[in-house]
Amino acid sequence: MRGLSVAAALFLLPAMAQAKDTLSVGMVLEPPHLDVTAGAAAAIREVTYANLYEGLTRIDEKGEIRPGLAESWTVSEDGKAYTFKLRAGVLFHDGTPFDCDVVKFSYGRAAAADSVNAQKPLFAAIAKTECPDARTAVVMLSQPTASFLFNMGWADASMISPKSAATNKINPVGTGPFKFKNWAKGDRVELVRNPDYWGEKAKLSAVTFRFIADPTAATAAMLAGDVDAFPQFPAPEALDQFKADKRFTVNVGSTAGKIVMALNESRKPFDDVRVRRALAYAIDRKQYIDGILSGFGQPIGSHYMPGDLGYVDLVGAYPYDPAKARALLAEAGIKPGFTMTITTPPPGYARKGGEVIAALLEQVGITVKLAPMEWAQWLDIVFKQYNYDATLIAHVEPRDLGIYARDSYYFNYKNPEYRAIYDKYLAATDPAAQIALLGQLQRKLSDDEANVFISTLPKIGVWNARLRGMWGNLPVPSNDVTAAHWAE
Amino acid sequence: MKPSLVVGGALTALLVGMALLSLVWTPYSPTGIDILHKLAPPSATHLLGSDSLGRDVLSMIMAGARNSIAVSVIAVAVGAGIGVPLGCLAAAKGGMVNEVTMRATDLAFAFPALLTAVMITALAGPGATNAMIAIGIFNIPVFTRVARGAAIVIWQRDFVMAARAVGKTRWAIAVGDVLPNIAAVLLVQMTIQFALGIIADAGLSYVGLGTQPPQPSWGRMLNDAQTYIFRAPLLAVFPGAAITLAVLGLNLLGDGLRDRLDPRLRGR
Repeated sequence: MRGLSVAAALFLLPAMAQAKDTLSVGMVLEPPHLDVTAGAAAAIREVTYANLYEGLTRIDEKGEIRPGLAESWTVSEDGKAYTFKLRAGVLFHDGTPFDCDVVKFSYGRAAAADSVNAQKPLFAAIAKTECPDARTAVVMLSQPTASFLFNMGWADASMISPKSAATNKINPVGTGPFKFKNWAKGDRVELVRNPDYWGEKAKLSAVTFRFIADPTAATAAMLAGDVDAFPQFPAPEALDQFKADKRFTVNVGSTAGKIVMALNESRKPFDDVRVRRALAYAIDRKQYIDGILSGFGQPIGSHYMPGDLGYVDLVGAYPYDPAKARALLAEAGIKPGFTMTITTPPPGYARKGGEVIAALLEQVGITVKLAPMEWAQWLDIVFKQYNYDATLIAHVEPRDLGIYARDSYYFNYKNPEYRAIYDKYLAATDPAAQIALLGQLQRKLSDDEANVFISTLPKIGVWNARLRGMWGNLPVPSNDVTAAHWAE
Repeated sequence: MKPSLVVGGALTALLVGMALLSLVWTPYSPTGIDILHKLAPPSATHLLGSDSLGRDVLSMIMAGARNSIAVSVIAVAVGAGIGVPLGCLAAAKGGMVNEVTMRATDLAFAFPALLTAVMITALAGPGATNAMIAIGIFNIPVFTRVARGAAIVIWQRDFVMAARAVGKTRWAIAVGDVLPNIAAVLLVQMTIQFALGIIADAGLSYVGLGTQPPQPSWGRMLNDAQTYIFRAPLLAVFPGAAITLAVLGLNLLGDGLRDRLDPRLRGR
């Protein structure tokens, strides 16, 4: 018996010593479905971007454009024709080969009249896609678009196989280094390594995304080792505990997230710029950042990230000044005791943040009712039906000044001057002119205080100290684990 | 006087006094934030410390008492207001009316009360008003049962028989003779339902379906506190103690009242 157990122990040893090659990633929100080209939820991207789906270009950890399924490209002199050289030997997870027809299909589907793509305007400039041969795609634009290559790196511009387009919501099929295995609703999505990947194969054999909404449960799951990484950790107040613990790495980086109090400008009195400015004066960004983000956010003065191309610092435009806020409200005819409702989706920056905003607005004589909503409800009532006064929300899409130039968007900001500048920016090909126009756009938004711009959304991540290759920053919503691996 | 009545009465008086005082005065605004002084330990400035947004815990507990009592009182009023007449009717009429009423209460008892309250508030939207209604609905069968049981006993007493013999109507007897005689039992039941209402309100607020922020509530204070359980454990202790003491006080009061008002138990 003893001999047997010793033999068994010896036999088991090598297996136990083998390095861990699976990863369990914690996320706060569960995606509503897994078709990244058919939904606005960041959670879809956080599971699938770069892991499962790929586009012609991709955005890296620093926000730079890198080749994706296109290995190289050239741009015509007039900035209207992009010729992409496509990679050879790329297969979708279901075996469908990737070629120019797929590019044509994917862009055509996203730009179509009945497209449900959450970023449809990104594709508006595409006039047509031509296929001189299977490995060359020529995308013709109706007008030069400065950010085209960056845009095509968004998750929304992922390459979708015509065969699986209809079923991607429940059974996603992409070209990425991981493929879909299983989705236990309410609990986890499991991905496994794609053995036929065209590029460097993933180091991990399997990745599990687990959905843990409650900050306390998230803390407990990290401490117990149930999840190896929580790239966007929901309990900043518990960070000190993780910092003191050698088993964990705490990373504070940036996202493209801008926390704003979005105002429904089709409703009175939010159509009045004096009211919007008053709200901006009434909100003390420092108190919000210290109280809600444990001091990790940066105040913003416009819908743009510090450090992005052409950033202008407008934080000082509306300093905290309750007296001025009251004066502006009085001027706009708002009586003390005016009541407004702020809808708050689940994340702490909104749910908890709402209490801070409510207390601050009370100081200038505004009574705030907080209306908590689950995401599905928020997407429907606020984002689709525009049926709200104000809401706290982080816009996590990068360089998305374009949303203020849309015909119809949930905050109903309609300003022809802004749109004219935006059109000029889109058409500008000279980098210096682009930067100047980006500055003008930010100034216009700040001047109009289209929404109340509050803070950047920090990326506070906690993961196992032996884990390598996690993204420190989140220029686009994602959990790119293609390079993740365990240290020896 | 029994010690339970004294202690229960004192705790209840403290609870109600605190709630009434909060209408006119709290040390700080219960919704006023002060981020610079967040998570402060108890001190002379903040007697029970401050929470994660720097709000004064004592002020929040006082205002929370007010909100909690408001929910429970209305819930008891809804339950007694509908349940007692139903119970009295069942006892007075007997027969089919009695059968139907009792089976209806059986049906209501078959639903787990708190879970159904969660369902009601989830459907009708979170908020104090809906919490009152949800908790109130589950007080109805309780009061129906208690009122009927007590009333049936009274209906068989000699003085009721006598009243019927001289031609007094059933309605007049129910209101004039039966109701005053079951009032004591109902009063005791009210204190118990009141205590259960406070627990239910705290439970609903804890899961985010009760009193909505920025209005403070004990349940949500507990919920907020759990994120800070290692850094500031007292944040969970104070609202927890408030709930415990309030419920204990009301239960002791109910116990004491029953001993005092029930002639069969008197003098034991």
